[in-house]
Amino acid sequence: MVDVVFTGGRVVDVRTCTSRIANVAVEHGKIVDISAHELPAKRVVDAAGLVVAPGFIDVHGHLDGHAYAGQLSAMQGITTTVGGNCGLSPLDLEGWFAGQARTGYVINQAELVGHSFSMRRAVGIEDVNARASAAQTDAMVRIADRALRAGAAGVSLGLDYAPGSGLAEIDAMAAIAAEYGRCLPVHTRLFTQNDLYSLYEMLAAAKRSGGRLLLSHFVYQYSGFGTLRPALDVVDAARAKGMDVWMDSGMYTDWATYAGTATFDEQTIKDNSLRFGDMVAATGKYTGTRLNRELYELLRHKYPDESIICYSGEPYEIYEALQKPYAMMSTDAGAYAPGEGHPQIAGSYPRFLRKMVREKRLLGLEEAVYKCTLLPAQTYHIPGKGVLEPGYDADLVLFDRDAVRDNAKMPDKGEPDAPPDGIPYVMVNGVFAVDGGVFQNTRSGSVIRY
Amino acid sequence: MAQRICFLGRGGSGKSTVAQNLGHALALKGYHVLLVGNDISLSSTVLLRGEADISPALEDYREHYEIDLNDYVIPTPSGVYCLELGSIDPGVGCLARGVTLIDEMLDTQGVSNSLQLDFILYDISGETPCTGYILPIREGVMQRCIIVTNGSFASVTTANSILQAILRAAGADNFPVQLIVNNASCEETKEELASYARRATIEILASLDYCKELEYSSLAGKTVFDTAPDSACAAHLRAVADDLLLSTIPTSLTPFPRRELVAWLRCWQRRELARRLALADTEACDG
Repeated sequence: MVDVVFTGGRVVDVRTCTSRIANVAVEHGKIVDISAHELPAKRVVDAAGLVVAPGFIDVHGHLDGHAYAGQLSAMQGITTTVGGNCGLSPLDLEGWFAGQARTGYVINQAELVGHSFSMRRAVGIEDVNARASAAQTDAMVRIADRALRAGAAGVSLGLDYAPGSGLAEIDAMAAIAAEYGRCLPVHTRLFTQNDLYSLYEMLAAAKRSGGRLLLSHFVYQYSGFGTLRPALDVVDAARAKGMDVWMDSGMYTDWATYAGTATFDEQTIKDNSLRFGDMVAATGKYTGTRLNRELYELLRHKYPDESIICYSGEPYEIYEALQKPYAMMSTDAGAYAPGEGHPQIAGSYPRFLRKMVREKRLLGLEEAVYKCTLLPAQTYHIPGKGVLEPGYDADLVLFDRDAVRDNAKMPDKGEPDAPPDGIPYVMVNGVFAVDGGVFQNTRSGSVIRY
Repeated sequence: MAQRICFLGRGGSGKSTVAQNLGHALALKGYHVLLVGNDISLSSTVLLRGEADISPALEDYREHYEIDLNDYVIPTPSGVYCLELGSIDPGVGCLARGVTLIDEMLDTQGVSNSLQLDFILYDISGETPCTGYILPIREGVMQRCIIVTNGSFASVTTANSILQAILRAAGADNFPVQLIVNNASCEETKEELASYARRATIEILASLDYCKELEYSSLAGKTVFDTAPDSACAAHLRAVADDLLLSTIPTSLTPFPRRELVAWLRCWQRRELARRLALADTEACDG
């Protein structure tokens, strides 16, 4: 007798981008059968009318073990997250992995080691506009090397947050990631609205290293100002030349980050023609309040760790970007207290399915699921995940194609952490993290060490 | 460490001609000079390299991602090394960090060291001082700016807006900027520009009169040191190069606000008209 069988659901085969009505049996945390047979099970879940898909793999998160962020991720169907993005991560990955394995976490976690905040600070670089010296670069390489040996998924860059980073240190980070055959996700740095050299410099580093480059939250970087299409052209051309380059994006154009970062530097605000009235506090006592100069000054100088959302970009560009065959879904979700944050933390995947599959019909159901599962699993070489096949980990999400919808809103318009509708079951390594639409507060996620 | 000097100014003000001749003058004095241009015409180096072909580095960088700048810097008979960046693909992106990126690569790829460069002269094309245009100054790449203007109102307007941009980019720090007045047609024009410079608190490095030798050398695709090395024009340019070697004391720039500039230009226009009418009257009387 198997542990669980999901009966009569539309089971997605992401390898062929097809689906069929079948039963999925789970035992000891693994998928053991997908067929028309209904194996005897301790629990039978009627999946008729539901899509049965591999659990979603979010390649761009900042969950880093945060409990509430994990809950919100699970509720939108994410069963694996890649943390430590944008150059912000723990540095002692050995200790971090051990700690996470000990305490347990709701979903599976891979973790990057971050350059632009974490390693630079660790080697004593206080000025975000300063280049690392040769000695500091060597010291960062040693940190990265130790983290990669401990099983980090790659090296993340957040160059917007350390705009002074030198080409030599970027090269060094690309080289060490490539040496281990791991990914180099980058939040690119744009000095002007149309700064396509932000892409070229990373393509140059990737070409020299021979490694894999992942362009993070692409729409946040390039939407608006007519830059997205030329930026996509640059990536298209690079791929046509054989470059190993990929991109991820969420379903929003309005990006968020900490008030104290270089992104909200006054000069950057001027360079990018950003307006205070287009910004809204996402965390802290001013959550949901639109900024004016006074509030900007207050947040920037007194509450630099609070997040600000900047209304920006053109929504149609999301669809254009995510339709690219090399584009995969991500959230950019982070650690927020209840009632705070950006709707990406709770609404990204249901919004993707609602808008791009059901309402606009820009992607077929199976192709959309592929962009949330197998494509990210392949990008990060995550074994045993991203596919529904016997022998694979029992990470599953069941959703109602016709009812799935995001309820999370921008914090000045509603609840940013409102859970979605239409995702009644989420299973992580054979354990229900969401059951009947209710979060189960489980800890069946494992750490993914390379 | 090579000193970076950028030449800025309106197209047609003669800044490329001036930069190439001054670069040649510095090379003749024994300095190791690299001249970098970023105009799509590749004309920033044409007087120095003559018929020699040159590949624009940024265009290849965008195509191949990985380039060795040693392959793009060419020696010339003048002794000045030349590098052309090329421009952006028309209508795509912006100059942004094109110049700062290449400048960093000159160091990281060892070009500056291997050529033992004393000066890197940047001849930056463009007339609207947008963020990308001013980035190399704001990011601290340049140590000095020279704005070239002739006597046209348009050229002075551009010089003033570049000054405004430098002032904004440099913030509270005074940045060394000097003016070269090129080809000012008459004494009165030179006086007007001297008056502008005083009010904008910018030092005039040189005032270059029209000279036939310079014009002819340019038409021949050479510098005046190739075609008329013993001319007064060549001597003057050598003296300007000497002045370039002197350190400059940065001043607190006071460019005109736009309205004030327009009003000042109108007054200049009226004075010019009055002068010409008086001259015509004199000629009539003479007749």
